[in-house]
Amino acid sequence: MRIPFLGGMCRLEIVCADTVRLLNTLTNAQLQMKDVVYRNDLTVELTIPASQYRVLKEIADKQGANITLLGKKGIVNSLQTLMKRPVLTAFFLLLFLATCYLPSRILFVSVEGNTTIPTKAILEAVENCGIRFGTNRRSIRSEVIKNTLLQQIPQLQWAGVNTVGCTAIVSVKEKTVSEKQEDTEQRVSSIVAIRDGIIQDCTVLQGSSLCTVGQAVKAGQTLVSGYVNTGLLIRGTQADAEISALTARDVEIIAPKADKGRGDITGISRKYSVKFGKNLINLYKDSGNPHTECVKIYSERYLTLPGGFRLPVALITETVYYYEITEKTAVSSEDMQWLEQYAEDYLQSQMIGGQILSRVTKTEPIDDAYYLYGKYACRELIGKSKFEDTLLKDDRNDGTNRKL
Amino acid sequence: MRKSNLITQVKQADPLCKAPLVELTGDSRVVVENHLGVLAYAAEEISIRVKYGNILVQGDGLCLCELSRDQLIIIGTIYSVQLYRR
Repeated sequence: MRIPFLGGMCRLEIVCADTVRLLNTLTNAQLQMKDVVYRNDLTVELTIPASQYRVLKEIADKQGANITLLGKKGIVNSLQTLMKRPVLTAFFLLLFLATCYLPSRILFVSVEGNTTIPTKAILEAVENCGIRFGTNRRSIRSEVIKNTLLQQIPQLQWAGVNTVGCTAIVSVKEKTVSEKQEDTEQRVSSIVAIRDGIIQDCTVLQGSSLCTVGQAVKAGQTLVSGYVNTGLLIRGTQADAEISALTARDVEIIAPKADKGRGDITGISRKYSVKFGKNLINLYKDSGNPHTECVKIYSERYLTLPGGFRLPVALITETVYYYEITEKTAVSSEDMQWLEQYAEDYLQSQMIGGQILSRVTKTEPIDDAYYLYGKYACRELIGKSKFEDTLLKDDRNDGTNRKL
Repeated sequence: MRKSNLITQVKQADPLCKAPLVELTGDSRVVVENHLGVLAYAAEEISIRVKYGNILVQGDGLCLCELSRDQLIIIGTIYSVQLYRR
């Protein structure tokens, strides 16, 4: 079956001595004419299918009529006209492909239901599962993603993924922290040693003392137990004690003789990049930086639609500040006591509480630095609370309370 | 008997076969079927030859919207449609 109008239509102007006779001849020749407009006694305009143009021309030539082609219409002619404009054709083709492609893809990912877990962490985990910009909606398997998310983020109790349009909504539910773990006041605790030392003083306020003055203890050893044997039963408490001991500490410090510092800024340069998802497109040529004396500031600006949807397209700006290098002496050779003072201050900051009793230090210059090695005898508090996992406070072992 | 032959016989038996059929829609459209050609064509008057004579359509801004062997459609402001018997 032939569709006569598929090839397009031709708009013609015919100048003829007898237009009526010509029209009748064309009608008898089975031509289908449309929009026959009378201009004057000699001129008429009409539209015919392009496939019948040859027949009309033969008839018109026989009758001595002049034919002027005013224009063409139809799909084929429109396509031929469009092909003469390649940029517009490419744009329409791109638009068509985008219309077909985008509705089946994930463009946005949103997270709901999280309170303590950061959204960024969940999004990264989801991205590792394969849900990212441009992922096919049909390839998302909620069960697989749920299992992967629960494995990657142990704090999650449940997770699911739904797709609404081009948005993937990740719904999560976090685990509730049990009151038993939160309420530390109800747990039994003991005092343990955090360093090796010799006990000098032991004041137990609560609990059972397991050490005596003059006893050498090792780090991790229990000094005061939280379980108190009252004779009839063993009661769990929170041990409280002040235990000081003689300890030995070693310190090594290396300080440079000279320190390089930043001077005045000598220049600023900026480099721009565009980030599509994980793909980075640099808008500059040379990626290397021959200058080492510089500071680089990296900033990302994501495109955000009205309503809060953040597109995965970002403009990245790298601003490089170049500056002069100035050298200054950090530690002078005449002022070596500064190092010793620094070492003692450092030691004090490392103690819970205590003092330095004696010290043996050795200082010497090496290459571009000064080296300090010191051995310090200290008297410090070495007790630290440690929660026991077995019994709760005030639990008894007489069989009346079996909360284990 | 083949189906196509049967249809041909039925058509030949039609009493209105080749008889002109004029249909006026409002005052802006005239459809003429089974015409025998155009006798005169102007924006104010179109004359069409039919089996029994001529049909004269008078009006303003007349235009042959469609012209084929089977039918003819005139659009414009129609004032009158008259049949002149031979």
